[in-house]
Amino acid sequence: MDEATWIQQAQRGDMDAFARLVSLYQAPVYNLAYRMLGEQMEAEDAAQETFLRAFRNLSRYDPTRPFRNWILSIAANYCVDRIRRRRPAVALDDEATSEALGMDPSDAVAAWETQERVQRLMMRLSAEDRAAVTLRYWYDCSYEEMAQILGTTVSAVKSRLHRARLSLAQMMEESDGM
Amino acid sequence: MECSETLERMMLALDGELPPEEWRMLESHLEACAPCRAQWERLQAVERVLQRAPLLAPPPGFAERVMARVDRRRAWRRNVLGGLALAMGTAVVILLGLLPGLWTVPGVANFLAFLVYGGDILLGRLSGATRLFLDSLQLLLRALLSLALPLAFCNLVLALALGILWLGIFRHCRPMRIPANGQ
Repeated sequence: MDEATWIQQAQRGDMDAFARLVSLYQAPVYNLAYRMLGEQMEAEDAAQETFLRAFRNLSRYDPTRPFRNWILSIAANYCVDRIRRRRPAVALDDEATSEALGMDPSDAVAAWETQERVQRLMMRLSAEDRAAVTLRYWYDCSYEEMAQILGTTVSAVKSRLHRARLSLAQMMEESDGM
Repeated sequence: MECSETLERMMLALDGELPPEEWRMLESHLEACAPCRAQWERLQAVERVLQRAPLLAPPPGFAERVMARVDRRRAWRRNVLGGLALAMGTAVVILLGLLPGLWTVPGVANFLAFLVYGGDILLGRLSGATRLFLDSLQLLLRALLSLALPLAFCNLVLALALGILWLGIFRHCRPMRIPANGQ
């Protein structure tokens, strides 16, 4: 069976079909939540909430739109709201990053430094800019897809991404370059 | 090409959308302009770091925890709906139990008849009806206190028992927050 069949079955209340969708999209949703929130526990909670909201609103899903974009839209908007509600600064959970990478400690050292740095820099961006960077670099979304997912215009997401790139470049320079 | 024109082209280049001709113009500008070249190198460094960052997998057992949370939420909704249905049923039981007794209380029959057949004069005599209702309620309470209506009293006790039972089930089935680490 394909994804469209699972979606139709889940819309009719089939929990097994919904469980398949959860398995299929758990990594993209979790990764987006982690990239935006920067902390493992919070990312898991946000990812779980995303799937709960998706389940509740399955009847509203438009099958002409890719399911991935629909569920990423739920996750991104939920994370943006969550970031706006919480305190301004968030510390990076280093141990969580290591575990989430799922690597052997010796193999993970090089990737670890990059990860730590990326996440620290990401956490200094605004919620909207963070969402744009995440969708662009981790999901390879086009500007049109980003605009659809974030519920805004193409020019707005371009502006966000350009601003985020410049901010990240400046932050990298401040922290002694690459 | 002026420095002010380069940033937009750098962004297009990073998106892979810069036409070859403009690429050449950008490159020749970068060769001659140190500040723009430094900016371009910083942007490329950001690009490299972001492109190397992997897609993180959720912790083990994530999907199971999601499904458990979905199940709990569904169970909670079912209990709320069931509780509402039970509460409405209880209200009906109370009404059915009280109605025969109410009818025997002096004044209530007249009041109910007035409510049903009052028609146009109902609004005009609202104050009188309110007074009559309060009088009827007082009579009803007296009748209940003197155990003159055992049937109504039994129904009331039954309704209360059902209500308490429902409350217990509802509180027991409240959704719980699942710890992210599954502990």
